[in-house]
Amino acid sequence: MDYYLEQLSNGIAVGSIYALIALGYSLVYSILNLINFAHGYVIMVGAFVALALLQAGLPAIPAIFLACCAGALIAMGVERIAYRPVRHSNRIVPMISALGAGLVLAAGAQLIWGPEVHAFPQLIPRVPVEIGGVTLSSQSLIILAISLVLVAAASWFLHRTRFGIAAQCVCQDLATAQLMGIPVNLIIVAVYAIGGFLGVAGAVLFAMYFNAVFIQMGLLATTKAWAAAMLGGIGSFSGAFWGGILLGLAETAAVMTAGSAYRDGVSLAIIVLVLLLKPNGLFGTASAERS
Amino acid sequence: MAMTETFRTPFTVKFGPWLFLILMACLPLVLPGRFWLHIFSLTMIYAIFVLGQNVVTGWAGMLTLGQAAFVGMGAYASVLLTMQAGLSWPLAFLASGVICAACGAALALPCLRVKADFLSLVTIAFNQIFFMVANNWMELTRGPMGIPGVPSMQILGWKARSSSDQFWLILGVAAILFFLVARLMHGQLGRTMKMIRDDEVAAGALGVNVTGYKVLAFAIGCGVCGLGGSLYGHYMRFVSPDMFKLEESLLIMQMAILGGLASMPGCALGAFLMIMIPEALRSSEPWLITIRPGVAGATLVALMIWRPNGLLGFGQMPRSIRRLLRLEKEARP
Repeated sequence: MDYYLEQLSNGIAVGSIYALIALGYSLVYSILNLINFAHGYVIMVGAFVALALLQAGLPAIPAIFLACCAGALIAMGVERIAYRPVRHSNRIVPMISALGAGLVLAAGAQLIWGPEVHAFPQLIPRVPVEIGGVTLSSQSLIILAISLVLVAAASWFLHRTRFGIAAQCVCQDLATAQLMGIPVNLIIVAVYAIGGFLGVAGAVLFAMYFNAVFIQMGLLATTKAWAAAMLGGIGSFSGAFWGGILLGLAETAAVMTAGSAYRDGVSLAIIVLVLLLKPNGLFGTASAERS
Repeated sequence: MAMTETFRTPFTVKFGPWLFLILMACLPLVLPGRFWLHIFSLTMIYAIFVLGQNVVTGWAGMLTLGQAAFVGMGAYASVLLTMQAGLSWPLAFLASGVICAACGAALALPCLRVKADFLSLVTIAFNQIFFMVANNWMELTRGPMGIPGVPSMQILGWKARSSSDQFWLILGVAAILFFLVARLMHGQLGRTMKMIRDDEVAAGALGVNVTGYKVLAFAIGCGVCGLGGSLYGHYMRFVSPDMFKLEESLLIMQMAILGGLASMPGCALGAFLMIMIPEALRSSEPWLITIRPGVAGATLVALMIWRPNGLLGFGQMPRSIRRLLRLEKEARP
């Protein structure tokens, strides 16, 4: 019983990391209907920046905060260079340019940090904690707490502030929002920045949990975050969160029953299954496409 | 009357491909050494892959990022059918195309019912699943060791032994495939696909079976890639999972976009540029190989901003060049 509860808490912790990464995707998709292939690569670079700052001797919290800000800046730069000029082109054009930007980031990171897997310092203590007779890992609990605080902050920002409500307006109808005097370009840049910030936070937690930073993390994060976002319903804030948690649980269950070789297969299988059975996600609603 | 004047096919369009084919066929006679012959054979095989990608991305307007999986599936199917089931190569070649087309249709149907955007993700996932299966199914694929000793291509007792024989065989197959796909894409099928690409909602409103045509486009693209994969496996005489990774899919996609979307010569040009330039610089500037993906990525972004349809894509050629090639008539009063 103890074992299962411990695995459950691990699954929720990993899931909350996926949720952080998936939020950026989901936000961008809901505004621009764009699969942001560069997101995974942006947060991979952010994790490397965090590693470099930590190795340079900065204390943990400022180093990670600076890395998150760097992620936001890179996301803004990618938006300015690769997305804004092609925003009104045929649908596949921005997707291709996103992928191109991602490849540039991956090549740049490989040039600076090399193709090998780097170990990430364990900043969160990993000691057993006993709560009500159940032993859980402190690392999982702290990761879960950090993710929940960040998600709650983002949720407050999007649902309660003037700026966030304007962003939701842009999500619903970009052209009308522009006519109502909402500075659409500013909102889009801000959404990219928020996505990059949260994504790098998720990537750093991911790197700590699995004790590794590597170039392929970009693509891995892309598929996992997409699986999470699709599971919950693409474009929905709470959907991305719950989708992430569910994906974490599903992966942990797969590792428990079939072995760790199948961990990465789960997210791929989920993408295909959701498309087959429930294309709008578990919490999404159907909508018709406009031309 | 200018309005009633019948449109005559310009001679560059009529005879250009034949001239190109004859020039290519003479290549083994003039090229020094076997290395460059090998590079040209490889370029032609990649041009077939790019053709498959271009049917899906250029004509039907769907971004697919897993064509290498279908290439691999065709290569493995053809190699296993000849080596294990004892089929002759032409039969295995056709079978690999049919298998890949069927798999492509089965993969595309669920996601195209929802949204074509998701196809790009599903094909990435499919590519990774294909790699995992090929790498771990030891009994069938021998896993990461690959299958060596694949028999060379053979038609009715004639075996392509020397590298120029193989070159001519690949050239013939590529020419037939390009011809067939061009016939399809310049006819009703291709026009309907372009219509769906340009305005899906309008096409649906006019009674076009949008999902059906998209699935058909994907099946054709995957079938062409499977046929190319069969050539690839029997030309390299070796198949292993590493040859069909996601990076390979991205390379095929970049070739299709660089050459030109919905353009037949673009397929060949894209493959030519992306294989020749790195090969030509490999010995003198080795550092270029390591930054190749980054350069390719930057090129993609730049192309998307200034030339979203690639170098030879639809309506992208400068008017002066089009006039020079007699592709467009002089404006007459």
